[in-house]
Parts: sequence; structure tokens; C-alpha cells
Amino acid sequence: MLCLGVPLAALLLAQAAPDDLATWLERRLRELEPTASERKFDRVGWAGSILDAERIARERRRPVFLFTHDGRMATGRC
Amino acid sequence: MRAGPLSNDRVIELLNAHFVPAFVSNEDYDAGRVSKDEKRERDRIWREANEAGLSSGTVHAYILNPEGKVLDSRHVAKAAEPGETARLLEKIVKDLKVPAGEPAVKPASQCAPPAAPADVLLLHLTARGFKGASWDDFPAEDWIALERGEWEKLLPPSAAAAEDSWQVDRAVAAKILTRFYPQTENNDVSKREFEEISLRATPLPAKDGMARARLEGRFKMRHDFYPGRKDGRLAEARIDGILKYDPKTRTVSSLALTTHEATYGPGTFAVAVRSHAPTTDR
Repeated sequence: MLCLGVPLAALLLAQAAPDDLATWLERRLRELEPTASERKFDRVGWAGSILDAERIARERRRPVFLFTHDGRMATGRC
Repeated sequence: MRAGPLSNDRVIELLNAHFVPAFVSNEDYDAGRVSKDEKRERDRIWREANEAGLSSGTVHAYILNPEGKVLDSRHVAKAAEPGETARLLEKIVKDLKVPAGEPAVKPASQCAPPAAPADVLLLHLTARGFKGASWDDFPAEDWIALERGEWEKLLPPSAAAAEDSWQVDRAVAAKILTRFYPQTENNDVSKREFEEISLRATPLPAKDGMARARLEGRFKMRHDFYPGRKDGRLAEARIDGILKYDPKTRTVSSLALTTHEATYGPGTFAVAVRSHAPTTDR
């Protein structure tokens, strides 16, 4: 069948026992889901808006770091 | 920025200890999803930077003093250069003599599950492209909320025999699969065009008292890389997954899906979907 061009992974998956499929699926999801390293951005304490940041900055006597961007940096849809 | 300076330990330390950090999406400002005062303030910052002879533009990092005056700025390309953002922050801390302290805002996940009614099935989606471009530096994430009337259509028809397979409702399959594409600048899925879509469930032996079904399918859909630029690109993939459900109460216990043989234009990608217990809003 391989010489017909059917990918091996798909063949093996199609024939997998249910528990093997569940194990494979769980491993696959873990491989693809965001890692802690990819979520380091979440370690920053972000203010919710410019006005919020400026209000807190006045109260805490701190400068504001503001990044304006296109898309959705928080979800990677940018 | 996110995969570069905003994931750098030194930058994170400086931002938390000395600054009030914020990031905003221009989409929200241009689409009227923020208050007039908020938009006016963003525009004021852009204008003030420009008038001060500083770099200014839509995708920029700005530094404001505690009174809101623009002190400095960097174009994103400059800010992303190795060490540049850390040097900028260190200079500001030194110039303003900002003492170190606890984060002004408690750090929290920026992609937390949305609040939803208890009977909503929340799905967390991760998409990864494998072109090796900067777009692929970190994965894209989405939350998909299936209301009761939608997730019920994942279940076998009431009259089906235990061994019968069934086709998942096309609209429900489409709602899930419409986010099956890698990181692209275009994220408008409101006019989604599927050329092919199928998702079929086949019963598996029950386990731990829970009925299970294998989900298999494929899809092919148009998805342009940039907003408003027709490029004819297609996202297509085979899908595999497992649905766990209680046939007596007709409720979904969990859903997991992934892709294989997924292609988008000249590249490949992969998607993982996992159900998530909702954080109720009531």
C-alpha cells in the first residue's frame, strides 16, 4: 500500500487499537500545545489598557512601557 | 516582540520591577472597541512622539514618564534587536531613578479561558506553522465556545444503535474547523469558505464507564495570509480525535482533536484541540 502513496502515519493510525489511538492523541496534543517557555510573556504583569497603565503609573510613580501593535499578540493570532 | 524581548528574562525582570507595562491591539482602537478617551490617549502618544522627533507609528514601543509624557520610543524592528529593549529600559530606570518593587499588576495568563455559562463546552486550540518564519516563533491559540445546542450535535443521534457511526453536524464541525490554520496576519474567519468538510464519529469500546467515539475527517478551506489580499491559499488537513460522552445524560465529557497531513500554501502546520472545563460566569 505504501507504494500507492498512502502516508505511513495515516496507515498506522487507521489500524491503531483504541488505547493506542488515545495514547498517540494525548502525546500529539502535548507536543503541540504551548510550552512554558513560549508563555514567558505571561510572567509580565500587564495593565489592561493605556488609561489603566497611566493611572497606576501616577500612583506608583513608575514609567509606562507601552507596546502598540496590529493583530493579537496575546494569542499569536497576529 | 513576544518571542524576542518580551520573553527575555532581563526584560521581564525590568518591566515587572520598575515599569507599568501595557500592550494594546490597534484593531480594538480602530474598530471602536475601546472608549473614546482610551483611543484619544493612544493617538496623543503617537502624535507626541512624532512631534518630539522620536520614532512613531502603529507598531512601536513607547516609554512614558509617570505623568504620561513620551520619553522615548522604538520601532518594533529596532526594539526586537538583541539587547535593545533591555538597554532602553535600563537607561530609563537609571535616568528616572526608579526603585525596584513588586509588579504593579499581578502577572496572569494573557490567553486565559473566557468566562462562559456552565453548559458551554470550551475548546482550547493550538495552531503551529512549520515554515520557519518569524510567524512561527510561538503558536497561535484560540478559544472556541460550543453552546449546548451545538455540542449536543456531536453526540450520536438519539435513535442510533450503539454500534452505528454518525456524521457530525456540518455547522458544528465548521465552527471548530474554521480556526484550523497556522499563524497568519489574516484572522477574519467571518467569511469562511470551505471547499470540503467532513467529520465522522465511530464508536469505540467504552472505558471507565464513558462511551467513546473516534472522530475522523478532513477539510479544505480558503484562508488568505493577509487581510483583504486574495492569494488563493488553502488550509487542508485530515483530522483525528476522540469524543468521550455519557449516552444516558447525553453530555460530552471531553473532546480532543488533532490534524495530520496539514498543509497551508507551500508550508505545513498542525493543530491541537482539547476541551476545557468552563470558568462559569454565573
